[in-house]
Amino acid sequence: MSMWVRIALVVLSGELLAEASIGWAYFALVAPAPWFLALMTPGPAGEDGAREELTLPRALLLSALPYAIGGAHMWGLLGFGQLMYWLVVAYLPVAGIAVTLLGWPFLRPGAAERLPTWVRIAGVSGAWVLGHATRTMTEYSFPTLVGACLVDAPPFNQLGSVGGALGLEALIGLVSILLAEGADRWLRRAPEVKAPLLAALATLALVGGAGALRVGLAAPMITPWEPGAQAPERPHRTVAIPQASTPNWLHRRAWTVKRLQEVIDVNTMSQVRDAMRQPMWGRPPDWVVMPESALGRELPAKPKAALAAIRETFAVSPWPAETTVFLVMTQLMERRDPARPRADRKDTIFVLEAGPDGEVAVRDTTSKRQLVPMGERRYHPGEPWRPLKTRHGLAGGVICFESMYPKISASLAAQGSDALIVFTNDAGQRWSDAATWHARLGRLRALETGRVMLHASQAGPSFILDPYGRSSARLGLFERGVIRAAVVTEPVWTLHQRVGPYGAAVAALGAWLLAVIGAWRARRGDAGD
Amino acid sequence: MAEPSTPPSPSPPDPARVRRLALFVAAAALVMVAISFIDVSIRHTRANPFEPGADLGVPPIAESPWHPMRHLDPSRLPWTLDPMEGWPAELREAADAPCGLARVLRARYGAWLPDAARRGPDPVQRCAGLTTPAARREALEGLGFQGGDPGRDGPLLLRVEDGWVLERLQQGQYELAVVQGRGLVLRRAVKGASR
Repeated sequence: MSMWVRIALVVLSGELLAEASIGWAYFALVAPAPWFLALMTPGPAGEDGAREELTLPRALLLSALPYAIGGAHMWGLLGFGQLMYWLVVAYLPVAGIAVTLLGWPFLRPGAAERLPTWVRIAGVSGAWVLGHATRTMTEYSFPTLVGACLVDAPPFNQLGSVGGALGLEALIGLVSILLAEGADRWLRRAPEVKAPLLAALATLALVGGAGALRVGLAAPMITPWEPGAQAPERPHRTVAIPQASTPNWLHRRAWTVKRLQEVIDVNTMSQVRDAMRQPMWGRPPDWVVMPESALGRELPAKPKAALAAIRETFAVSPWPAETTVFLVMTQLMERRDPARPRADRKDTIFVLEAGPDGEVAVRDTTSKRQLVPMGERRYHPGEPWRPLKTRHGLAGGVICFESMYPKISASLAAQGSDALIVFTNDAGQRWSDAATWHARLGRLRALETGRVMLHASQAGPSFILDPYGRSSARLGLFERGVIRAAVVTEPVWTLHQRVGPYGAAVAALGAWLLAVIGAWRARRGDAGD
Repeated sequence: MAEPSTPPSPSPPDPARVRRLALFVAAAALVMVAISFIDVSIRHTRANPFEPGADLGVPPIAESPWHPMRHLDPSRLPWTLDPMEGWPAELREAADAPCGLARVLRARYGAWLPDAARRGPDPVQRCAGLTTPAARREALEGLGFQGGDPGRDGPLLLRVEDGWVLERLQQGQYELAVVQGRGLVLRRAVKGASR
């Protein structure tokens, strides 16, 4: 196979990765197959019998291409043009290079003759998962995993409840290497071309069938509220999520023109008060979830002054006894941390409920801990994640892109959260698909943890998702409205929650080590002959 | 000791099949590029659903974080920020009365008003019985409502035909206005604003 054909193959992989990330998620299942084929097929025999084989440095260069192309394409489609995001594009190929480094002994041309098929399949699938896992382990790694996109590919998405994003990566790696193996055999006129293709189909049928069965047996857990709708019979909570869709330019202008803050607050609070007043099935909502940056102002540092500002903004008196409101605001700090002299504020979730005097009181708070690299240097990270206490149980709150990290939601669920709540504001990404993409990468957390997820986004999309990935209540980008629904918050048991977010990585490491041992034994066998 | 055998030479791919594969890959890549272009055309030109049924909004990718309003597309304005439908019923009714928007301003956007206008008597009551615009304007000025100078920092209250301009933005090109029948909107600046 000439270098040009190899380049064409990895370009195709890049295109598939890009489209899988923001478009049709099913492309992810086969995206790496052309890339694997480009690396594993021997070069053409020359007239003199010599052959130009692919070397490791060239293979690494080729392996940087799919994610570079896919990443650039993806960010371009998302509508980003900022330098920071292009740095992310430059960073993504690390995963591709890591995959090839780990998988090279099983992928290199000629490995088909030297190694048993199972060794190569296990080795490459394991390398695919490990390559992605290692890239996402450091604090500043942006966890853009292709596997997470499969949350939009039912019924395969149910595998997320077993292995999370990395488990879905394993499915992608396995199916793709089987397809590549079939294509490689066909190209080389080797025997048994159909066997790997049938194995790929069987894998998809098994995972898809099990997923369809899991969803098919599950009762509905979300009931959108409308007059005349039947309330769920199982214990549930009523939830309202207002989405005001204040544009980003208004927020930015409000930093310097303080009067504009009032516009934001009026715009938001008219909806919030409406959400608090509107009864569902004869009673006020249990939880009203306000998204991040729903209000235009910052809260002062001192707790009394902050509470006074909250009371003035809400102007709800007396506070409805049964209703909990989640408010996310930037709060200035009383003292700066000498270790972070630039950080003078926190992004804090406030749980607002009626106090003993009938007025609103702050029952609990937590702050955003996983800060956006570079973008949030003025913010101080909060304390370790813990669920928020409310009158109606525990709520696991995550802010903005914390939703993309499996470890955070897993920790909140393990501490007894009845539901996960994502508070975000993606209005800054304007009409691009960044908000949709952010939501897509976070949705897997509901499947992984077996918890209902309330996704409250200031400018959309906002939605409620059940532990099976089903959603029946949502608001789109820059729509203005309130989602009202009853949600059954019984946790659903998942293997992922039991073994933790790196269970699939450990399994992949086991498969890869087995493959290494298999390759070593095969090599010894060759030497013995 | 046995001689280590040389690894078997991999069987080469069939050139004819490689050509067929290359053709297939090229076609697939072209299809994917076409899908991307279709994606771009759909994603970056879709209508603004901010107000159902209305073609309002800002362009998809033009706004820069450092010049957040530079690229507002005037053809897609006004952008309704606080639709009148969301106001309390008494404000919706008052908006139609003489000096009713002044009451709306006081009740909903008080930060724009001078102190006197914020604390004074109710504008609707003060304007009751006044039949000419000049008399109403005089009454409002007596309550502390006043026009502002767009060039100076401070509250800007410009009376226009259909409402009040609260803020001129981007060197006076756009304005934030409370408009009769609509609510709070961002729109192109309307000429002919008067005190």
